[in-house]
Amino acid sequence: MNRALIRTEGLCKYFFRSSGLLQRREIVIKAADAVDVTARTGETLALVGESGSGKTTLGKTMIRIYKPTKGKIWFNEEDISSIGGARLKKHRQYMQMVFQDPTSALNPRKTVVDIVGLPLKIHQSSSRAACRARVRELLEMVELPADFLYRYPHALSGGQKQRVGVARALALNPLLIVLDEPTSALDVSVQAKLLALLEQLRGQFKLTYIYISHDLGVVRNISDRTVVMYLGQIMEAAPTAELFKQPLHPYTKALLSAIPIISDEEQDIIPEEITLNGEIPSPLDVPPGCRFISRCQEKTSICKSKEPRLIEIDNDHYVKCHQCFSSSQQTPEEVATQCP
Amino acid sequence: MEQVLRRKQKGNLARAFYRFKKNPLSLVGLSIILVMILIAILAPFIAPYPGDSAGAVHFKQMFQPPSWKHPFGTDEVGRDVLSRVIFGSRISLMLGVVVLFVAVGVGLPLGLFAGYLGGKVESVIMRITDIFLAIPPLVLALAVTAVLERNLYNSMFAIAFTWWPWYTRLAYGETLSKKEEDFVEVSESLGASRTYIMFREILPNMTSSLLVKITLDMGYAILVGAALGFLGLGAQPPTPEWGTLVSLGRIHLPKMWWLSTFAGLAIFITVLGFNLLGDGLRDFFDVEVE
Amino acid sequence: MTVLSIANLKIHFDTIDGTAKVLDDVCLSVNEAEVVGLVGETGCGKSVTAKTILGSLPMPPGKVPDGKILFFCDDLLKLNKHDRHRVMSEKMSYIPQDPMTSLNPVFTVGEQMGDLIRWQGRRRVGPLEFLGLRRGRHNAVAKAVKLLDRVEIPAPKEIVRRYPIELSGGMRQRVLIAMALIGRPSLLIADEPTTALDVTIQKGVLTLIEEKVEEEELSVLYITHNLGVARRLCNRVYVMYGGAIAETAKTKDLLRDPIHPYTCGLISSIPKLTGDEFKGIDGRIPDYIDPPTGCRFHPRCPQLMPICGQEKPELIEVKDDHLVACHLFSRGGGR
Repeated sequence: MNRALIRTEGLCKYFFRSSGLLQRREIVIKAADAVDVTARTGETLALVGESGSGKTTLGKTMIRIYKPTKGKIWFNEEDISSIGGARLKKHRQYMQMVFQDPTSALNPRKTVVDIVGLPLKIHQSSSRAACRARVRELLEMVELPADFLYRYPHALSGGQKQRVGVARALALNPLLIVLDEPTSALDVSVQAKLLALLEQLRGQFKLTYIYISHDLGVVRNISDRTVVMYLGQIMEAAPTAELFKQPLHPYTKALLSAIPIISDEEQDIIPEEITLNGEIPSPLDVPPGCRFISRCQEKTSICKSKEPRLIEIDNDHYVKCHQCFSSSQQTPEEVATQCP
Repeated sequence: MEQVLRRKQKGNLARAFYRFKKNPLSLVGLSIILVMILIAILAPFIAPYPGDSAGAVHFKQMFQPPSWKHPFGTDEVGRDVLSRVIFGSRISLMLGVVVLFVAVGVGLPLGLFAGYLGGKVESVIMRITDIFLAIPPLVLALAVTAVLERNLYNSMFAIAFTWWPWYTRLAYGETLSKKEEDFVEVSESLGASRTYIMFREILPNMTSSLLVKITLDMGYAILVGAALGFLGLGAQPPTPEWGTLVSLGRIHLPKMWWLSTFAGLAIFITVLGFNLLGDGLRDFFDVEVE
Repeated sequence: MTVLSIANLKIHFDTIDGTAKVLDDVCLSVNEAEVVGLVGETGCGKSVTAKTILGSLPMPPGKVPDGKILFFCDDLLKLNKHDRHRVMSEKMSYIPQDPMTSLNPVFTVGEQMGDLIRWQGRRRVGPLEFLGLRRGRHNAVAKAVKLLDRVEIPAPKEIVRRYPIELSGGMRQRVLIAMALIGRPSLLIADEPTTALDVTIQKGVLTLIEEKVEEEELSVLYITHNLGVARRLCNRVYVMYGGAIAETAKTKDLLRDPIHPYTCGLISSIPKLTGDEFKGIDGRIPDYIDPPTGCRFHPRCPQLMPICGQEKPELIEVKDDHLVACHLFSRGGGR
């Protein structure tokens, strides 16, 4: 097992919304609530969940686009949760992000060379010529022709825009890239090409990916480990192959059974037909006890009174559900809690 | 390798012309403005009696109606009205340019700061802006000119003084919406400075709405300038300012109709020109933003 | 009986760079009580087809140089505005793609549904009724509540008083489905109604549509880019590429045994839960102003033959109910 590149300890990100004339901090949205998660060097860690599950917030907080409310982030054994100024700027070049909406992520008034060259300009203050040469190199890496240098984003297709976004993320030779649903705006034929490119780049530059997605089909194929999130917390975490073979949490099972699949072979993987009650509750009023309780079909009395802990139930397989323990021999107290 | 479009696309100029062609009125507006600018630049050469623009006096030819010699007639001291209207275009255009230059120069950065930095900066700037916006511009301009000495430059200052809050509000609104775009977050996450993000990332994205507003406002600023001149608070005679000309001719109405009419027409056509052009530009950019 | 039948439909758009030949001889048909999928990627012309059927395509810049849209016995393209409106309001309805913008934010759900119920099948209502001063023939709100109940919305009496902004995406889509069912239509056109929703919510909406189709014996033209959704819902699918139908077959047959190289590429592009390898298709969608000659897929086709660039392949039945437009299977072709 590789060592941890980035690790969080009780990471929280709350958004405060002021209400009333006096600008009092009253409403708290707990977008990420005490999350322990680790991405190991060279792996692809997938964060999955519905919209509103806090996966994007967690990704952005981990690389310090957002300032964490509580908790620690260890990047290469250095706590970056509260650093600022020059130290933060130094760390920023190791951690990059590719955004979901390729149109919004590229400034429509700038050409490709300026967009991709921006990190170089900020961090290395390289000359124009050196910058252009490097951008040319980067475009080649993401398999775009060199004459794209002076194009504006509106002249590019969705897949090409996303490649430009990837080139920008690669510019400073980062160690970690957070990919926030990079293919959700793309067609499947384009998606497959982009995913292949990302996989190739990961091998070539020894990158670590945190891949945020709601598409379990994609996650199954590109990630080493998968973390399932619900209302700002981890529900289940396991090596991807294991998770798809043996999903334990009712939420994971429900997500799997909701995927519109295209072949009978896939049907065998899907556990059983599970339909969730209702929709994801607002993060403003998280139910007490287990936060999945309002939609769970396997709930019992204990789920309402006590919040389950995230516990390692099998080698590297963590789950946060009372029902999973009653079925296994171990009781929660016997198993040591550790971060996944 | 990703494929490139094989077909060569038309250039930006061709595209702009195609869009403009769909809205013929904006082309009319554009022509009016271009002709006005040309007249203003070439005033000394095309005006039949350049000397009449200032304080020349020809008592022999007072109050002559329009004729071949004086197409717009002559005024109470015998000056050629056509020459004076032609020179007036210089003053009106200059007034518009100066007012908007100051208004944009002051209002735009304030709006950017308020929108991007938020918090206390935002509260302070936007509350002051709101106070200014609560007073009708002409009334405020009147109040300012009443305090100062009456001349053209002070009237420009007064108009600019009432004009900048509109640009603050425009820039503020645009900044708030552009701030949410991911490319701003990218620059922030890379550690770009706030100044860079405000002026190099956000500002270029508001040029189209800015351009439309400036064009429309040119007309209004000229109108307000003329109004101040008409009320005697702007340029003073014998400066051939259009508003002043209308005001001076007013006492000889309706018999000597040519004194006020031609200056008034000049105001009308110029304001109309800027309005048509502004409307055309708005349609033009609306399409482009998509 | 055929409910909708489109023959050789061509749609062109005038743009600054020239005429975009978007639809190129589209032929498709929907039978009674049949759910037909129209599947394709962004820019393949599937939404343009739907909009042409609904008559919501702006003309100009759009124009129809050729083609027929037979709805029961009427050619929709030949009817005048009034007749077309009458035919469509009686027998056709539509579920839009975006549940967020398809409801008016300033009226409550009950008001919007009530208006639709009142106006259903009528050209005008009396002034008093229009202003809401008279109840009219139906008790609109009570009917709205009943309809909402039928699309499994919890507490419908509560929901009719809510504004769209207070509802989640899934709820709004259910409201839109309820609205589409008001006039007891024969044909329902659904334009990617679940694209904006989470998979868990999508599943519920799909189940709902499935139930309603069965209950009301609806014919549906379901437009989607997701083959999985098509598999779940549709009896038959049309695969569209570059403004033309590439292949059509029973959904099961098409997914198990695709024939057209594009369909094969599309299916193999989808990441599968089994973790099997998946690969995309090289190149990009055709430029409609200067489209490739012959088969529009030929520049991207892995099984390219000389004839592909010269002649447009016709839709030919190669197996039972399995039609494909590809030279590999046409008379002069390879196999």
